[in-house]
Amino acid sequence: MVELALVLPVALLLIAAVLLVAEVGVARLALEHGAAEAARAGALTNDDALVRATAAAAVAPLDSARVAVTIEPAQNAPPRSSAPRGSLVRVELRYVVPLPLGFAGLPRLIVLGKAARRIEWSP
Amino acid sequence: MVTLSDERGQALVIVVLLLGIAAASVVGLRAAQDRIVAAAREQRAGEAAVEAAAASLADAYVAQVAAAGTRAPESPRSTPDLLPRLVADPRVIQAARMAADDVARANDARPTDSLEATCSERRVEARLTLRGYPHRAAFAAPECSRR
Repeated sequence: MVELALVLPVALLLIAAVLLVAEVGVARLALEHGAAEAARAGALTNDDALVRATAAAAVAPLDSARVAVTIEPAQNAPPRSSAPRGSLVRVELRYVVPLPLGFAGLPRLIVLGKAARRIEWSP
Repeated sequence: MVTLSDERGQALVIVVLLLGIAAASVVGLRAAQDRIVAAAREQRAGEAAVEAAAASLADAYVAQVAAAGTRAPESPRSTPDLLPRLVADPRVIQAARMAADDVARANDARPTDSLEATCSERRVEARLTLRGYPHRAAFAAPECSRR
């Protein structure tokens, strides 16, 4: 009984770690997929809203409200504002994994997904 | 030795064993994840790279058609052998490969292993391999049906 009381917190922590690693794995794959799809949308259209909507749809099963999308270059920045065909559009997705003990001051766990595509559209 | 042979000692051995299994699971899961994510990223990088190569070929095609139109304004369409010559031109293939490599690098992947372009079955097709995985992209080109 004494051993169990001593080891139980460590065992629970390890079980939580297994679950967390699995959750991070799901998030990494979802973000890779979401970033690739969003970059593809960015390669075909000059519409940041569509790129963000594509990312939000493609990151399932993650909560898209927790996914931050960065698009480079932005819609109104060169070369996208002039003659972009042949240049690259990059999309980065950032997701903060909700930690079970996050309220206790644990550091935030951030997962990234990024992708780049050659821009295909012409003005 | 006494502690390992009574009930309390056996419980300790089992708990330590379970902790070892849990720790190995965390490490194994993480390693498997790294491989799966890397494979997915390579796959996506290959798709993006081959599309960039095909787009580069299409750009070269459009440029040559435009150049032909400038030379002969009365018939700006391409000549039948324009596309077969285009996909056999080492400079065009080199430009397509550079476009593919740029995209592959931007996706944290290695440069392409090989790239080739074909003109057949009414389309121009770019084929490349990235870390052994084949990728294809094509665009419609009715001129290619003549060969």
